[in-house]
Amino acid sequence: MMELIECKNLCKNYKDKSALKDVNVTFEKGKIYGLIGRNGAGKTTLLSIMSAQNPASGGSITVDGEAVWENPNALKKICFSRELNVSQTSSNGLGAMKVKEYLKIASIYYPLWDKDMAKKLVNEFELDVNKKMGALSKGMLSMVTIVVALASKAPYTFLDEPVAGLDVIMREYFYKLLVEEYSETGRTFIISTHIIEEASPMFEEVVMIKNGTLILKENTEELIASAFHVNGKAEDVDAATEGLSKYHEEIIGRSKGVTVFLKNGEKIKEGYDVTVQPVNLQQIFVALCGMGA
Amino acid sequence: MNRFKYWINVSLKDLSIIVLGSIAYALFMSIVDEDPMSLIGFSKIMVYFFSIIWFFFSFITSVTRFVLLTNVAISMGETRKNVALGIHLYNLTQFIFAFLILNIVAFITDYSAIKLVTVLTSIPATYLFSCGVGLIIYSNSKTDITTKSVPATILMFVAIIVIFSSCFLTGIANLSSGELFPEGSIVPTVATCIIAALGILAYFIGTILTRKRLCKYEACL
Amino acid sequence: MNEILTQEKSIYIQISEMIENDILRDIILEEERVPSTNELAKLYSINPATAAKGINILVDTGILYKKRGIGMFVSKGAKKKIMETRKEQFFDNYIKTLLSEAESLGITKEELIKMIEEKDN
Repeated sequence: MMELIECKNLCKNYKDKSALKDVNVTFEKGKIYGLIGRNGAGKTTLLSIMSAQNPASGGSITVDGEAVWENPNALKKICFSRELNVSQTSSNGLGAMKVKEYLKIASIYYPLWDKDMAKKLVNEFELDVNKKMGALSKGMLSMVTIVVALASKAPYTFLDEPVAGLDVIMREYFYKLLVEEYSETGRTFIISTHIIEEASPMFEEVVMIKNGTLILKENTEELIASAFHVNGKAEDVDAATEGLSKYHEEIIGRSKGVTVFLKNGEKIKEGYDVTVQPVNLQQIFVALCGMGA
Repeated sequence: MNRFKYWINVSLKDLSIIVLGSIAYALFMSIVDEDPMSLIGFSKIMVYFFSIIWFFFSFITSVTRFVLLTNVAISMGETRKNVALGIHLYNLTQFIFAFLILNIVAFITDYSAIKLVTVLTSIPATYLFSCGVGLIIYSNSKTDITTKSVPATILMFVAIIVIFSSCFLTGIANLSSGELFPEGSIVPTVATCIIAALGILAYFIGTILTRKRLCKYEACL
Repeated sequence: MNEILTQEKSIYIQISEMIENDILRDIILEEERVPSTNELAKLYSINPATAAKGINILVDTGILYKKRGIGMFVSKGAKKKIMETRKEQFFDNYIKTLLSEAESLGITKEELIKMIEEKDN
């Protein structure tokens, strides 16, 4: 039996818009995935449908071969720790709940919950468990979701904007925690984040969503190695990049810059006075999903 | 802790609100024994109403509780079927304990035990009715019951009116000591039975609507 | 170890080069153990698969060898091998760019040689 999460022809429609359109994607077990896309692209919708928190309008989702919807066997393998919105927590009653109560509920619903790990993380994050959820800052709320995600020990763990509100030192600490947990357990992590460049070395594969559609799923390293930014005199750039997939052209005066993706065997033509630079994941994202992309 | 035990646990914690109010009411009633048309008798009636209001708020608390726990549970991978079961466990626990405790208090205070039992039975009967209404409202609400949804607001007003009327009918009839209804009249008993029957019906409708709602539920933590 | 990762090169290449640099500087000696994949991943906050790829390059080129159950070790003669390979690549990595930049600035070969000789003084 294949150990993976498979989404086939996944659609999600709301009254006024279509949040996901015919998404086909497979997440193999044992990898760290980066899920990137603009706000409203559909990342959170995808993750919440994959974890049965949201019903799909069409298509199927299976975990290790079993459908997720109302299936405790599949659901117990998943943990979706999403960004807890402070304004929402106060309006829906969660604000009045103490942190320790929230963690207690987590320990009931996640069958593999690691109490010691939760305790250790709470101490390291200096979280006051007697505080009410509504009284926590955005950063502290993120810490709570990180504690739940890591201590759940769920084989498939989704994290939606895990580092929102955390300062750079805490963010770096989180990445170390993630790598450490992954090294020790080989759990599958799917992480959606806006802070792409910091997190990109963590992702073995990256999945990009644009306007409810999956636009790519590739090995991060290979994707980055295939992308280049070419700039110089406009005519030289055009000649050097003829026939290649081009994105995000920028023109100032006689100078032009463009991002190209090289497929098998393709090359940037030599002999032209152009500067060729490597491009990082964030720049790739902007090229593919930026304004006017 | 088992996930179903958790719902029972929470229910027992929430019980304290009803129980306190109802015990206060029962104790007060047992001490004072007066003609309802007199000042003291009238204030007894007021106390009765206040305890009803207190216990009305406890049903609002329970609906808010359902909504919160539903969101949290589903966001942590619970099935909707189990959430529905949890809600029933919650209501059942409240009902059983409220009924037991109130009747124990009635016997202890020994104020015309039978009369008090009838009166106190009307509270759980009314409570059952309000649970049913609560479920109906819950099945319409997304995050909290003070929702912009018009049906839910209307239902809430209907609930308030019905609860007060039923309390009036069963409670006042019992307290009147012969003034409104003759001693030994079956009217109070009949009223209680009607409210109980309505309660069961409301609960049944609420359960069906809740199940439908949960199927489409999108956890919105 | 402890260099900072840049975006100029693939991370796994940087990992392998860092280990090579440490071997050249006698920070890791021959027959000594190099940090494991997981240790490297934790140190640099990168995916262990990437760290593994970097180590594998060095295994393929004979710089490191694996002792089953214990870890990766520096091969005998690794330092010499690295220096030789880098000497061969010296022209491509440094001289070519130097010459092309000099050409675009109009610096002649004689002026270049003069600059190199003057450095010693």
